[in-house]
Amino acid sequence: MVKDINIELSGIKKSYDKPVLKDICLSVTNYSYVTIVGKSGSGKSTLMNILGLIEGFDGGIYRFNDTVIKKGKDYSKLRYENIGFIFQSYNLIPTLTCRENIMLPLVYSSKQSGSLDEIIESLDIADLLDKKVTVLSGGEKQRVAIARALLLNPSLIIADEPTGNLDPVNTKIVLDLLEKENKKGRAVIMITHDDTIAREARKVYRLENGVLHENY
Amino acid sequence: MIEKTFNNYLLLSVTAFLSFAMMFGYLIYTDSESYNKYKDLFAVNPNVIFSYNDAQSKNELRAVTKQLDKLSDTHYYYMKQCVAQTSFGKECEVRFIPSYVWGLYMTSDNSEVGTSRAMINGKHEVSIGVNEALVSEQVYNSIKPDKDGKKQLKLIFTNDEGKRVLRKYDVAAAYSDLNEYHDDLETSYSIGAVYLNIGSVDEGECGIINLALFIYTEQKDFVIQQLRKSDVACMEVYTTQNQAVLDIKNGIMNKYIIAAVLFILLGINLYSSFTNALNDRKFEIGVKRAIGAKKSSIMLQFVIEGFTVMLANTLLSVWAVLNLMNVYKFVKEIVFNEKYIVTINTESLILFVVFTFFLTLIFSLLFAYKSTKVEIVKYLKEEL
Ligand SMILES: Nc1ncnc2c1ncn2[C@@H]1O[C@H](COP(=O)(O)OP(=O)(O)O)[C@@H](O)[C@H]1O
Ligand SMILES: [Mg+2]
Repeated sequence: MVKDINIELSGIKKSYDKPVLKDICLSVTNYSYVTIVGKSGSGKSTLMNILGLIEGFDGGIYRFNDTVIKKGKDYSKLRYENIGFIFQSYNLIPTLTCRENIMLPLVYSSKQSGSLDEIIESLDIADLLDKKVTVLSGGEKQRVAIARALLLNPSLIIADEPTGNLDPVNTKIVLDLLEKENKKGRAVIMITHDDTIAREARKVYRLENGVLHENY
Repeated sequence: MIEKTFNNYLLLSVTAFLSFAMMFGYLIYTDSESYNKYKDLFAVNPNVIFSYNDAQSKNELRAVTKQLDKLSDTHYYYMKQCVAQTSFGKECEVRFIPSYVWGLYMTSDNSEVGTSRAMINGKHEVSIGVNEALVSEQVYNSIKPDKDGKKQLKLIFTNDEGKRVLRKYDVAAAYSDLNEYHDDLETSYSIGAVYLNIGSVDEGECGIINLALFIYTEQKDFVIQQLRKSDVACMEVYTTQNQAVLDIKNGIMNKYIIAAVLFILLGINLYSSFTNALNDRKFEIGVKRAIGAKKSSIMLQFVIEGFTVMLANTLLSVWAVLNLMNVYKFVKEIVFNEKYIVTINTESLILFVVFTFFLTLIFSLLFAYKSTKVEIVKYLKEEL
């Protein structure tokens, strides 16, 4: 069973040296599959990090389920209870084996892992478990990273260009996996720069000048 | 994982190990050196003062004892000295003492202390009856046993008029002298002195050449002052001991100064080592935090790691320094033939424990605190 997820952003602002996000409005619930495209440097990753509660924002309202997100507060509990991250550069810890990487969230959560065997089977990574991360291919690394993201049964998957470093075969594998997880009720927010992927997606936003444009 | 974490802490470990070893090594070395330098000095009772003069200046000593008689916590006795001929050919020094004395002092040229104490069968006190003799080991070995296997000491005294008289004494005990008598010095003192009960001989039978005064006192400063004022020679360890105590106190001051300097130097080194270790781990921290690790979990991890590294290096440095000191001791004893004891004072030990504890505490906590300040997003973007 996937938990309820209901997030809503309105008027989100974020600047570094110059404004990156100006007025972001977005709502996501179970079964949502949101794809975001945009030029490099347009602020896609920034938006994903704000959505994933690993970065703060300067203005606007962000409601995560019943919680109104405030600046400067640490939402580690919301993260491990709800969110699974998938990154373009995998972000696996190189000193650990695949199994240790996948199990890492359990160190910080008392929550019982949903179905480790099922995850391992569906991702076809049983043979990789005892290997060092550094010896894996890109596609294998990303599957291990997805396994880690799914371990605590997240209701929201945040994928920042998950296929950016992958060949077409592995891209298809990863997209199919995300599709499958979405069908179980998980919300998926994905960044891509691949037009074919974007065209196939159900709901596509384009991030331009700090604002999200729907139905690109 | 453990192996990689170890590599991460290698620089930090080397820094901590060397610094702790330096600190502990300095403490144990200075303590051992000062202990070995002063151990003989402090083995001597500072309450016992020894004064001597030739027999002609009896009156000067009398003037002193008159003063001493007024003190209730001061006791003294005279020891008279003369020279006698032994039956085995050599001259020896004879010293007359009361039947019970609390200690014997010998002059010594080669002792750092200035005086050292003769031990009689391991005791610092002895009693000798009338017609009994206490002899040095050299004298004891020179006496031939009589028919019953008993050793009897025969001495020939010569008085001021040149009249000679023979006396026999039973050997009550033999003492081993702490001073080394050099055989090549063919003096009457080369075989050590014979001690006799003052009641064993008439003063007129032997020419008394020296008078010595043994004083036991609680008022050392006053007594020493009196002796100096009366212009009689005086040997005492009290002043030397006080000097040594001052010396040791200065040593302790130095320890604190060195500790403070090391603390600062080490602090700077440890800070950069910890920062290095942390920089290598920022990516790991970012990933763990993104996954949902609380700041406190990360903090705990780094406190534990920091503490473990520092504790391990403390123990390792102590172990290494102890081994090194044992090598030093070995060299001293085997090569230089000096008895050497490796020791550390309680204050030094406390200083070291406080020193390492605070460095460990400060840096583990700082390390852990800094680990929570790592921005998650900043370090996630690294390519694998
Ligand atoms: N931590 C940061 N500090 C300063 N500027 C940043 C930081 N992160 C991102 N930026 C800037 O914000 C803009 C958006 O970056 P990003 O969200 O990574 O874009 P995208 O993912 O769309 O390529 C860029 O101009 C980038 O240089
Ligand atoms: Mg990006």
